[in-house]
Amino acid sequence: MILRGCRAVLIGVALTALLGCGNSGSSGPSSPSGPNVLAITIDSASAAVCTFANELCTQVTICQPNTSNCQTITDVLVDTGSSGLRIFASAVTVDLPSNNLGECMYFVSGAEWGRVQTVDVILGGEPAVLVPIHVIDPTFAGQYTSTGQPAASNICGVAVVDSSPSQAGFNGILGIGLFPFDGGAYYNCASFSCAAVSVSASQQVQNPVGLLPVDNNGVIVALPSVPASGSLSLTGSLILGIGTQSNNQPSGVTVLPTDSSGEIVTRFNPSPGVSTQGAGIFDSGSSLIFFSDSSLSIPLCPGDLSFLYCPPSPVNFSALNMGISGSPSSDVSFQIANPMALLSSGNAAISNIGGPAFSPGVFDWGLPFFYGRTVYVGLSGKTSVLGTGPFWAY
Amino acid sequence: MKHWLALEMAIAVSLVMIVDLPRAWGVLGEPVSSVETDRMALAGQLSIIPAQLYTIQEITTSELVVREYVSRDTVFAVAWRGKRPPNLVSFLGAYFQEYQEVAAAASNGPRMRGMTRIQGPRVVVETGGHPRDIRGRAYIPSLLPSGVTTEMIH
Repeated sequence: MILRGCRAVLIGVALTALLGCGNSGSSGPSSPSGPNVLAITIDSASAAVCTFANELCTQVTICQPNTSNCQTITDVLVDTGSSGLRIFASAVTVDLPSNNLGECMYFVSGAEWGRVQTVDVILGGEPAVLVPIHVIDPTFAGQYTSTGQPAASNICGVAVVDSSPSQAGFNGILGIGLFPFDGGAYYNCASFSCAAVSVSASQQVQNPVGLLPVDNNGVIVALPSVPASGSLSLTGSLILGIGTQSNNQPSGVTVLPTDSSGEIVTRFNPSPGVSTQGAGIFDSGSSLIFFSDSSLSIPLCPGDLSFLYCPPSPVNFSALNMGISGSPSSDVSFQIANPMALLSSGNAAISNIGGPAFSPGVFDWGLPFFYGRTVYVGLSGKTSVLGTGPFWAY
Repeated sequence: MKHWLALEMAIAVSLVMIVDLPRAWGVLGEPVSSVETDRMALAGQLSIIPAQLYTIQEITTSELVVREYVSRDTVFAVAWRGKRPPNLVSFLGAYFQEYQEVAAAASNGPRMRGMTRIQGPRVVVETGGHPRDIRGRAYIPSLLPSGVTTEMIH
């Protein structure tokens, strides 16, 4: 696997440096601490399954409700693009209350099928919150095989569902996006048969942040910068709450209100005098900056990397991000470099790679955007010193 | 007059499909009459948008918009946008299995997350957007009319 080219020789840091396998631990914002802070990392060399390039992960604790029978789940993807906690059933060892409620959740990268179960979730040092989560299990109610192939009726209507932590690259997904509910499709299931059902809000998979007693109005994702050559690993902070504690007071940020699907307006300027306007999103769960324009002539990478732009030399771009009503606005410069050498270096954090947005009109600011920034995710319906969500701010 | 005839034909075709249950009601690569079957399955509103090189048959529901691109009485592309994707088993029809096989292989391929492009021998399926605004399209390159580019399919 090309993205893992250096792992075999990562015997020690000295050897790594000798072989030029990449930098590690760039400097960045000073590390906050407190019960409302979770460490977030990219560290493909030592992670068990969170080993993709530009894959940001953390750990969370789940407990059998109202007990101290708890388990820490590592390698949980930090995703500002979705809401709610999802964990593979195969990674869960504590007993959870059973439930016949099934759910399909659709991501851009794929779909998850499994049951909804209520657990106590502990984020960092915060009090436990009782919340329904999605326990990912392709074989729940006999719908898919253990490798994610359609078995019964292909209830999610997709080619394949994620089947295991090693295939998916995570033990779970912590959706800390703009909304309190996840918007999935719910089903009432018996063995081998499921029927679509509407469920009340309280039964749906929910963003656990919104249920915290104090730090519940959003989150902050703070990551160090990454040099153009990439970093072997990095550590940042997921801070719960906006302006609720001494460690999460914003200053000097631009607040971009979104529409009801979490989109701002992004005007991309591929070249002087040319601009196209579309929906913009900030998704820490996307590995690249995804964007397109009919005027672009950047070649795609060969073979099974054809989802990446492969410019012969680095290209500089800019785009204007605007609140959904057109203001305020913020100009962002970014660079797209040739990913072949960057990926084969073994560096897992890469700031300057992108790919085409196959959905015209969407500009996806993936994880490269977050490097060197402090990004605020204002939860819909909640108020902070930055205003009432949903909004993005940085 | 022409529309009534098309409607009658569509009803006739859909009745055949209702009787012939095991058959998927797919549209990609099928005659335009299959669009009405999709509209009924989605319980959506149909509107027809003429364009220079093709006709768009647009099905709208409260949660989803599906556009079917038609030329020479054949659906050569399908695009969608909504809270959730449409059931691709149905919409890709005869092409679903090919998509499924290539996508299953790709799910173990290069390890990154984001928008995807699945290219099979006959069909291309691309997905993008994000939860709450899932977008995608599928098309048969060999059936694209002359002068039609993939940017037009959305």
